[in-house]
Amino acid sequence: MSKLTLQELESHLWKSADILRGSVDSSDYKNYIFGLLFLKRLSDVFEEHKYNLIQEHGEEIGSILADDPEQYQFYVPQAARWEEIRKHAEDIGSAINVAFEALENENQTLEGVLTPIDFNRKEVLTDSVLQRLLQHFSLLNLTNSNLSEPDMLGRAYEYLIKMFADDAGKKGGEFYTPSKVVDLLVKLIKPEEGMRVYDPTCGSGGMLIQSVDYVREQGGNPQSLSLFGQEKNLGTWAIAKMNLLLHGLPDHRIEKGDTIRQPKLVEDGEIMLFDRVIANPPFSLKEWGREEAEHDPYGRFQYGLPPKNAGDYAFIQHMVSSLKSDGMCGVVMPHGVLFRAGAEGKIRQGLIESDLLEAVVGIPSNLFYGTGIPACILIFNRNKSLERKGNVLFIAAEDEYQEGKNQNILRDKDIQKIVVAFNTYKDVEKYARVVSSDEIKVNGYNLSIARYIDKSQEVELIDLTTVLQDIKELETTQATIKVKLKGYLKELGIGEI
Amino acid sequence: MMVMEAKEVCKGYKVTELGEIPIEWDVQSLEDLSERILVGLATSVTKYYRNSGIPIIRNLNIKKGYFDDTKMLYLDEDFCKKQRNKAVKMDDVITVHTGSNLGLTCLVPEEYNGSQTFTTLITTTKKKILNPKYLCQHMNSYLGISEINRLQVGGGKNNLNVSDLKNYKIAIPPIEEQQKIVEILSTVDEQILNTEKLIERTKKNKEGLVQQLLSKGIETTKFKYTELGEIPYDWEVVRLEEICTFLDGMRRPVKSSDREKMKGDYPYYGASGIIDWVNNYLFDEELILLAEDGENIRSRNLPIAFKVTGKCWVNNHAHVFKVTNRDRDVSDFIVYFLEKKDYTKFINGSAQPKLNQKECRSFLIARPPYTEQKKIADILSTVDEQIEAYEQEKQKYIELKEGLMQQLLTGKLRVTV
Repeated sequence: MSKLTLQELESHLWKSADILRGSVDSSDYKNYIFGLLFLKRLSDVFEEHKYNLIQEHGEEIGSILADDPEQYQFYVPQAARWEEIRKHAEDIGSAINVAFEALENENQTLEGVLTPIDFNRKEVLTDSVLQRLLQHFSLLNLTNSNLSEPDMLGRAYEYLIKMFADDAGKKGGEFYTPSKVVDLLVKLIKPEEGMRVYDPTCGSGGMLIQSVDYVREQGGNPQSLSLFGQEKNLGTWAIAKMNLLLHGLPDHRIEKGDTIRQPKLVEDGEIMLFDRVIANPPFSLKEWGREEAEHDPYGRFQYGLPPKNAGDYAFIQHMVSSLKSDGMCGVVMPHGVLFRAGAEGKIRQGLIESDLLEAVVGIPSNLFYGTGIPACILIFNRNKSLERKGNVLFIAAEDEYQEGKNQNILRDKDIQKIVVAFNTYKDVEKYARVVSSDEIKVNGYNLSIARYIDKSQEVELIDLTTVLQDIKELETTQATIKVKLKGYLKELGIGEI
Repeated sequence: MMVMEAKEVCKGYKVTELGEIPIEWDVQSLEDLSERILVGLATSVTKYYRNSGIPIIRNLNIKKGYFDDTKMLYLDEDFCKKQRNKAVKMDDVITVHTGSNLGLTCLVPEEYNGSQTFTTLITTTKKKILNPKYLCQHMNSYLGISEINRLQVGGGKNNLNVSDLKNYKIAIPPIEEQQKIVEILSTVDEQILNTEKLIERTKKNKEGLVQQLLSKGIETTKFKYTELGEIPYDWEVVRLEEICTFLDGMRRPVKSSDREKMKGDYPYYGASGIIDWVNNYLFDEELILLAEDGENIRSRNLPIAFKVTGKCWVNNHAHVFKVTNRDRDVSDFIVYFLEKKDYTKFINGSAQPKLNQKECRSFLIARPPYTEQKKIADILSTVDEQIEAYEQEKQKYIELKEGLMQQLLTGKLRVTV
């Protein structure tokens, strides 16, 4: 039998949503499905490993080892094993909750990840619905040997998140960052072995995971990165935990809570500092916490208090103040932060005057799920190299992308072009330009990319003599045809022109 | 017994299912007038696309009465060898069979003899009795359109298939008459096409004149260097607010629901022109309007600046200003300048492009002396008038063709052969 492909897994998982649709609010789907997926995966891997132990060491020794929790990354106690849960014909929700609890008891890293998902909601999750759901998941063999690609589960997770975001159509700025955009961000800030990487709005953890992938691709030790994050939404937080675990990254610290109102990554009364800070915060968040920010005990908002209805500059300032003295940060922002005046204008001025801004990259519109607005990437660097000091590199990459059915996609070559332009930090006609902070000052600290990079088409200088000659010839033809037409109309006895 | 009065038939005419036609004419179905009617390749051919080989004609190549080969694709030769029965010949009549351009017809030009087509309908007429050019004119005319509608009605679908086309009824004259009718109609077609070219060239002429006159003036020999580049020595660089008085404060937007109650005879202006007519006015003098926001600033499909005179109302989507000294500056000149200006740097990439008042006030303009402004405006408006005249001429020729088709394709008016 052929191995499970990513596409099969994705479509199978998406169909599980159909079973729940109607019973449960769409924004709840993902929690139940991720929870069950995680459970099935852990259970399958456990059984697979158990089987392998017996194969390898023989029945006697094997069965002793098989019961030893130390042998497993995640030990799955009896109550949490898939086959065990399947035995229940009623009170299935309860049985799943018990399974989750048992799992968390045996595995400290899973504490609080699964138990918040409450399957014991008899009014909406009837036994019949749960039966069908479990039946559906039973059709999946999630053992390692059955996966056609090793990192499939993580990617299937990503796929589900993006499908759910689409389906729920949730506004509130909470959307998934397409992996190509994350790829670009990571390639710009270049995390290295041993660095501390932080995502203050980590969502499902994709940026942290891709940072690890990057280090691996560069030949470094991926496990050497210290991963930190904070996520406000409890359900999403749990997904991030599961995501990191499924990617084989047990060594991480992801906190729950509102990063602006209650930053959890603090040490001795101060914000923790990191080498690399990377994020895609919710765009222009209203109710972001202005009242609390006014009395911020950590002094994060030194460039000014952002306006009540747009939290963008709160996140930017939080990220900038989380940087070590040689730290770099890359953040996705809506275009508005480049030119909106008022309080934001003052903050922008402060950031530019402190020479922290290294680059502004305009990316194509319609890249994100759930919103079509164009976005940009800002790169801040506390330790700019000498030739970059006093300058900001503008990159106008808005026109280079591939059109997709619902979204546009950044191709590898588009990402490559941006990264090369950033690395060389030199002018490229109609694409990139190194602009001095003096020039930005003259423009009122407006960072709108169109101000600095002229993309207007070369105006074709029209040769009037040729045009006039053409017109002359056409007039002659016009007259000739007119004569011919006159002849016909006369013949027909209609009249004259 | 009821006596039915027979309708009087004109001498030389007979009654048929398509109405009265000349006696020498005949009503026939396309099936009887053609050697073959078939449809082109109907299966997916994407894997046979090559950079060269046998051309494949698609719906987008068929335009009303002419073949458009600006986007040509080619198929593998060996594959086409197996589809020889579907190859088209020169002067075959090809028709779009589905979609919004259903029924559009043209002829296969000589260079495309032997090509394949993708799902188009193909008709090879019996040349001795049906001139393919005649068929083409007929199918694209009001007669053809109504006939195609009739044939489609059965299925209710937006589709014309071979069996439908076989039943296409047409009243045909003797072959020599067909030839003459084709000559006359195609002469009008030629004239229309020629007028289109004249319009295009004259627009280009205007573009070139704008480029030249607005930056280099009329017959200037001495130039000086300024922040706007090289301009004639006797021109000056000024900000728009130095020569115009802004009246934005007097604008008042009115919701369309409220305008319902104030319908009248005074124009109500928005970003790109008149959007309504109301019974009161805010202004009554010569003014210049410049769009403040709207997609048009990006797309530039409509004028972005225009002169208005007389009583009018303006909403807050267009800036309102007037020339401060009418003896020193000419409104029309300023409008040409504003229309030529490039606004891409004001397009921030997000939702609505916007030109705010502060920006507009500081637009730099190369300002000629009064007489030169007047002269330039006159030259450009004359060219504009010429374009307008050609547009009207084109419309007239289109009407002439309609009229001629009504007369000639029905035999109401006979040609001499």
